[in-house]
Amino acid sequence: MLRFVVRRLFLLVPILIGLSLLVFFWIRALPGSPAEALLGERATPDSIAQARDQYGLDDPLYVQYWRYVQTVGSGDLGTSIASHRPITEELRERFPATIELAFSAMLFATLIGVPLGFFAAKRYGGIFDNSSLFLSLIGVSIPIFFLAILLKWLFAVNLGWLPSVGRQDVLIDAGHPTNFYVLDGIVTGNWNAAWDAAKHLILPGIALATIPLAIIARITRASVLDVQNEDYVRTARAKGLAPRTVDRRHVLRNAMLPVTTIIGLQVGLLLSGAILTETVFAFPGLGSWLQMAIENRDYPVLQGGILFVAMVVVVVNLLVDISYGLLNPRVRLAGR
Amino acid sequence: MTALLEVEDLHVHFWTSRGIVHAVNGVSFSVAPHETLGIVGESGCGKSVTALALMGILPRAGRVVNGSARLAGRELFSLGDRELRDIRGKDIAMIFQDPMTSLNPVLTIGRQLGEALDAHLDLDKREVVKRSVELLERVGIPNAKSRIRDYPHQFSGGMRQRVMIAIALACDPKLIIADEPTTALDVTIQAQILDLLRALVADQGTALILITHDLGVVAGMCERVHVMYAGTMVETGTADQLFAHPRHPYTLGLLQSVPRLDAGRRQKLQPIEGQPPNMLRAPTACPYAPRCRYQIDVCVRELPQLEDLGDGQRAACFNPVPPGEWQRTRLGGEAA
Amino acid sequence: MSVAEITEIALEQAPPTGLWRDAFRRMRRNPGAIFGLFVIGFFAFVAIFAPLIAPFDPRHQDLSLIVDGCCPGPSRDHLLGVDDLGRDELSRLIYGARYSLLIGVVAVTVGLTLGMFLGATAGYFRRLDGLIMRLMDIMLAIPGFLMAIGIVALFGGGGLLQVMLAIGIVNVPIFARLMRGSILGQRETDYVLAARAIGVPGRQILGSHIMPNAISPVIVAGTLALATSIIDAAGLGFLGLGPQDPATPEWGTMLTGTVRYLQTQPLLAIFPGLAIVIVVMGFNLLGDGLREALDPKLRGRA
Repeated sequence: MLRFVVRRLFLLVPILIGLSLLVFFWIRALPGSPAEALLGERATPDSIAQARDQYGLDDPLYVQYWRYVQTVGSGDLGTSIASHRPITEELRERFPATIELAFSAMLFATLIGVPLGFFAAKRYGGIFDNSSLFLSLIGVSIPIFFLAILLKWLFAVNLGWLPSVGRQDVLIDAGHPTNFYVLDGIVTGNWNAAWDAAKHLILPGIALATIPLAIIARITRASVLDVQNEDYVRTARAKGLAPRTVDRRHVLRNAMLPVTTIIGLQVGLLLSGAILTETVFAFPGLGSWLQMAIENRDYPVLQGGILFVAMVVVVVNLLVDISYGLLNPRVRLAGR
Repeated sequence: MTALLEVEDLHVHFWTSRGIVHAVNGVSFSVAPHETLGIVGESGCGKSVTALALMGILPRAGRVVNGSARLAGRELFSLGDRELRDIRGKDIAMIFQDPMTSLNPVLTIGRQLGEALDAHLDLDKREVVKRSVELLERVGIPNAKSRIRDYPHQFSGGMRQRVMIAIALACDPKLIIADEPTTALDVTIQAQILDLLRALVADQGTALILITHDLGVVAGMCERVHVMYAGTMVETGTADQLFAHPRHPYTLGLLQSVPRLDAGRRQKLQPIEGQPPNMLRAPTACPYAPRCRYQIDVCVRELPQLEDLGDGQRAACFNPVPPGEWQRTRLGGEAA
Repeated sequence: MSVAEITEIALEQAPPTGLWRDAFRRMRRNPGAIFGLFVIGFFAFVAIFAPLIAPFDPRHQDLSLIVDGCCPGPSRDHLLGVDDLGRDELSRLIYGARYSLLIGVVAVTVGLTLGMFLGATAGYFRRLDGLIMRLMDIMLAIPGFLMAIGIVALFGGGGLLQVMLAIGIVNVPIFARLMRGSILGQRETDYVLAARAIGVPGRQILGSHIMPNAISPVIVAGTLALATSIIDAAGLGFLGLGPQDPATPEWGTMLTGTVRYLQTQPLLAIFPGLAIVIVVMGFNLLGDGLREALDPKLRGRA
């Protein structure tokens, strides 16, 4: 098992290097000089010359790259043009928000998607199966921002059941030790704040969860259908086990293996979906931050932000790989 | 002596998108306690389906449309789910064909043995483990005590089949159905497994139905043999009778088609010409007639029933093969 | 005996057919796929004949209709109403189909061609395999939509051509991996080994054996890629990265300003969104239908 984890970690290195190279060259490939990109459109010739000096933009590329790696490695991702604040600081504010949102979305998608897929498979060909397939289809065919708009219109603007913007009602006074608003509310004993934060998560969470839910439901269904026809399920039935036991111990446990892989892969989808969802709901997370950076041509933010997001995706994939290894004895025991 | 299992006029149909497949058409047989019965036939003749029907684990599309099966007097086809599950694995157990896929890859062998015991016997955990180890030892698995924690992929094919046998024996069934238990194994392993099966069955006094397409397997193991073709029994008798003087043209054909070591180098093989019939239509005449060398007029008009031909040997044929035919042709004469 | 074996026996009487004829027959029986085909056909028709179908010029503003603020709903003249600048919504939707179709087709073509080339190269030439696939892995590490944003920025921050190229490039690793996997998988198959054993030259094996089998998953992936490309294009448009001329009737761009008017005229948002959903559903249905129809394992099972 340890060997498996270590091997995976080694694979991580070239990917991270490749990513950093990609982002590094991306900034230099942008129209206009890197100095202009880093300083923004309002840069004067003087400040550009100063920046070239300061950032060593006249040095050979490999020197610049090395400096870049060192800076990123030490935790400095640059400064935002728009806000003039260090990017790492803004990340620390924005990232937990998106994590909270993404996490709730993932939870929702899994808790609803897996049972949906399972029961659709058990009632193969029936009304439940066909309706869930149809809903899945719509789920993957609808653009996230459109769904977000619809939800906002229906539940916030029209019915007024749920808030339409932000993370927390401005009128609520709450402390934020962890920056995870719902957790903060619980930790500080402010149930009002916690519940309010949760309410703000519902609509964007549902919008964000839709595509992963549709995919998870579909994959679960396909997986269960496959596993149900396996010989070992027949053996289990031949032993005289109750159908529920057969389902739980033999069908589900094997059917969930491919599903777990998929769950991890959804992270990338969640993060790109976040850009669109957070914009619609003015939710102050990574997504809307990146979107504003796009509008403002705030390239340092885009560079740092995309690098960060890509690394998160890679790390999460690694974790998913490892957990798959834990679940599948054939992988776990390899090398014994 | 009262039969352990009595099957009468069994009909099993499968509903497919191309129509109804008449898999089993009026099969009747009985098994006495402690007896080893062989059921022989080519792929697709309905022998496995018969077994699955008796166990009550037909796939979704299949259904018993007629017939009765009485185990120690109890009518199996009128039992409810729970009662069937009670019998399955405890009074009748089954061994399947492919040991590589018949065990759940994510559970240990011990677990899979244990659940068979747990399902029917009321033992505490320690007893379950003890009995599991005993069972593994009995089927010839070395280091049973440590192997019990291993996973299926850590066993070879032959070993896995031994485990399947152990699972079948777990609750001391009165009857074991072995569906092509050695087909997927190497020839040398085949012999071992058959020896094991023979010994265990003799030891416990279990009745055994051995399903196979391999005449060699039948010759060494079974007292009585039934030959199936296209979902019907075409000949039954003791192994001695059938191998000495087969009366049904199909049985004769089977025996003749086995290549002989002592045949001349240029001796042509004698396959049975033609293809099995289309099972989408219920049989109205002898299903073997199109391929039969002994076909007469009535064969294509009426369905033959099993007729006694002396000493309990029965064949479903309007024009059975003369008793000495096999001996005549096998000793070098031309096939008639 | 499994149901498969039983049905196999039952079907032995059926006449032999080729993969394509089988697939076609199976598709005909799939209502979803037929519906998808219909939708796509309709969509293509509307896109191609837009100038003949649209009642108004999509860029023409009739400010007299919005003197009382936004926005009058469906009326006799304007079947789907007008937008916040007095432009006919129906015409904009119809012309919008052109953009979506164009972007989708170009993006997938770019991705498919480049991807297949890279994948085939990686699959057949061992030495380039490692390099190419590492590059693809890195590209796949970044979520597709985000990478599209990055690429659009590279090309100057928005525009029709930029969007098409960006989404095209994002599609490349998917097809590359597919192609490579297909080729690698097939090199070990028994029928390729048999062909080699008889002495069939490598190029012929590639052409007659490997390619036809590799094509099917590519067709399926291509159709499904069209679906995601249209969604991504709309997303880029929504973020303001699409065709930069604000008058352009691209469905995604049309949705950007509608958030403001949700209270007064939600239809402005609903129509373009619905259009996207229906078209994308069509491609997804067709893609799924093709996948089922072309799966060789299901052959003979109808």
